[in-house]
Amino acid sequence: MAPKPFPKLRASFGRFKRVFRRVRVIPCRKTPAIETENDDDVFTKKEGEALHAERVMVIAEDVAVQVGSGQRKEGTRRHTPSSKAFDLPFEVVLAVFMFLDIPELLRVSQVSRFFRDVANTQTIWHATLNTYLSECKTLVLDDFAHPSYLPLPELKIVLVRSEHLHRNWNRESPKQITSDLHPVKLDKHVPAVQAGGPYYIADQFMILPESNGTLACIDIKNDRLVGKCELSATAFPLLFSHTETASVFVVVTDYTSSMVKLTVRQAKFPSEYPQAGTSIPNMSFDLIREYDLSRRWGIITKIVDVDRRRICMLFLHPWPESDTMKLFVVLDWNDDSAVFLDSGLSYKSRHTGAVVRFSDDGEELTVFSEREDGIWRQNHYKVSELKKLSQSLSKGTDLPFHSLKPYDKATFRFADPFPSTGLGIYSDNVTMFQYWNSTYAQSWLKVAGLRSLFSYLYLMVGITSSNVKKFRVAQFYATETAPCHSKRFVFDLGNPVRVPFEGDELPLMSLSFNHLCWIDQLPKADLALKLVTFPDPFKRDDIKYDIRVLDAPINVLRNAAHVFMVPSLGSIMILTKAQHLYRFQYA
Amino acid sequence: MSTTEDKTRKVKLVTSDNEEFEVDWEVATRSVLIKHMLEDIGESEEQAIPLPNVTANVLKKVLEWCEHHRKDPEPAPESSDDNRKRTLEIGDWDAKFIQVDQEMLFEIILAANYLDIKALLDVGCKTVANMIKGKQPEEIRKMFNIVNDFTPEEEAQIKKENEWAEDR
Repeated sequence: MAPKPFPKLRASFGRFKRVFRRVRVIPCRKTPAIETENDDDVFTKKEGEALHAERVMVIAEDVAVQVGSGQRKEGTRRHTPSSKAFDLPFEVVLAVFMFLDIPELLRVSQVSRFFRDVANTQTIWHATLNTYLSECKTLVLDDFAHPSYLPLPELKIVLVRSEHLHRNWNRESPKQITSDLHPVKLDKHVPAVQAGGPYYIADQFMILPESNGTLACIDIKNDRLVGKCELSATAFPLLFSHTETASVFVVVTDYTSSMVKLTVRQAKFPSEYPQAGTSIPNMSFDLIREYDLSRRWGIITKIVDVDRRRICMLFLHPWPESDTMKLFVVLDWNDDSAVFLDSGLSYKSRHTGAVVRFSDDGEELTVFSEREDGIWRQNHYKVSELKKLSQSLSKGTDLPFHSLKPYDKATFRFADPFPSTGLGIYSDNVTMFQYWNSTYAQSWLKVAGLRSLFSYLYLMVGITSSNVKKFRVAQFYATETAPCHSKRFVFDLGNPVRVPFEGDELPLMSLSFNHLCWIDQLPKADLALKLVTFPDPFKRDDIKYDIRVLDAPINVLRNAAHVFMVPSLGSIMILTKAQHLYRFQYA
Repeated sequence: MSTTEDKTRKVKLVTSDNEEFEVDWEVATRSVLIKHMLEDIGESEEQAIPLPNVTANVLKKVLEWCEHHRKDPEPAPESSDDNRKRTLEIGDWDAKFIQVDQEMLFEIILAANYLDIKALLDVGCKTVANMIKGKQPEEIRKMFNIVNDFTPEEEAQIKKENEWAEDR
């Protein structure tokens, strides 16, 4: 099902019906007298509330006279600001409020009923939503809710919470809004969680990878295990939530002894979240498709377009001899049409980067690859041309590799972000891990007219000459036309707590589209939960960043086994070695 | 409508207090309302356009703005109205132009709204938005002479809801 178009909103000044407003007077109310700078104002603060009420009535009468007579005397115009009652019409005040940010909107809504009514219009909050989405700011919103269809009071809460989160995480000492330290005890459901594995966390359900590869779905509110997806320990799953079907798609590549298996599964959540205490149906991970691929594939990365049922996998073949990237594109897993391509682009595992994406309109496939001299090459393929070459996979995957001429090519050069440190991206003593995240992570962001972005992250692990392990991160955004902005965003992780990963070790960290958090070891055996917010995707000329230290109890940090960054819930979660899940709430 | 003739064409405007202004077509048509009225009455007519919602001293000020901005390109249709406005910056000339007392400011805004001069309305609205920024509700009431018509219960409630915004 195609996403419904996002409603286009505009403030059309001058077309609104004029709303005439009367000055409301409540003479008996107890309010402090209004101070005025008007010299000839006979009433002062000291003269008390009775006089204040009278004064208000005088103003109201004054207005009535002005409106009634339809003309004003020139002489009365040159008064100081507060001489005349406020009489701008609704649509003009609305136009003014369109320039205010969320905290200011909340403040003006405390001024009067009229201001509150103007500040509570759909127009303002939908415009604010559009701004948020176009700036790729994370919304504190459940994965399966679509912001366009939220009733205004709920949309307002979402935006206010999002703004709160954004400001909170950007201030010097972010504060938790609650400090409830009762963990959810997951030990009876999940014996151990796999380091660095993919996860899905929402308010009620979470999917976690067990150390044996199995995906476990837990209903946190009801403290129940609701489903399992048996996968082997060598499997590499990716999870994609999908709003329209209220489901999570699990796309897995798994090396078995004789082949590489690619499977697509769908896990459907109940359409209405059941309340605590009622019976919850078990969740099954239904198999949608399964492909057996050659064992001689060295898989680099894969992306999935759940709406169009497409997969694009980048791999080296034959593995490990070849260093040119091949593409396996499933054009629609419903009819099994697929194509194999030889991109001609080179790739060096754990030393260079590779980026692949479908365009937002689904018409194009772009592959970027980075060479060790810092040059990125990109190939654009038209999906229509891929379709012409496609064959059915129903008779097996032993199909020929095509060398399709890309309809467009380009190269980009980026400077090594770490000159003269000896720990540059391309130096031999550095190992690189690549991560990506996209605005697709919150699938409702696939709305008409909004460009989607991918956020890529290189984690570089290097040993310095004095034998110190350094962890460096370079983050960048990829768009449809360029692998990244001319500047990458680079920072050091300090001395992160580490967990074993595939014979190596990785920092205990978690990332979202525009955040990364990790646990850092400070001197004197102290620990800190640190957070960095990536710079605005569209204003990266002046790249700077601040690392924030979040308040988290030291005993939780000491026992941390996993960190989960969940901006859509306004939280960061820590799972301890005892499988106790702590939720720290920032919005 | 031929553009060559328009350049030299003069337009007569009559204010609510019966003052007549004669201005260049290019200046007058900064106002979308006037532009549409001119299209409606056709070119041959020498008819004066009545503006019953604008007084002479306000129109004078508005025309001063139109004169200065007569060569500005037409704003792109629907431009950026989808999003909340991000910038409150006002150009140097406009900033000086809008340095008027509050009543005149409101009159200009009302006139720009009535005459449908989007860019001028924006200048006025930005100015008011700048006045509001950083001020507490009571300060805003005082500045604009607005009566607090909330009941004490409502006020307490609304203040509670908005607490976080003050906690910076």
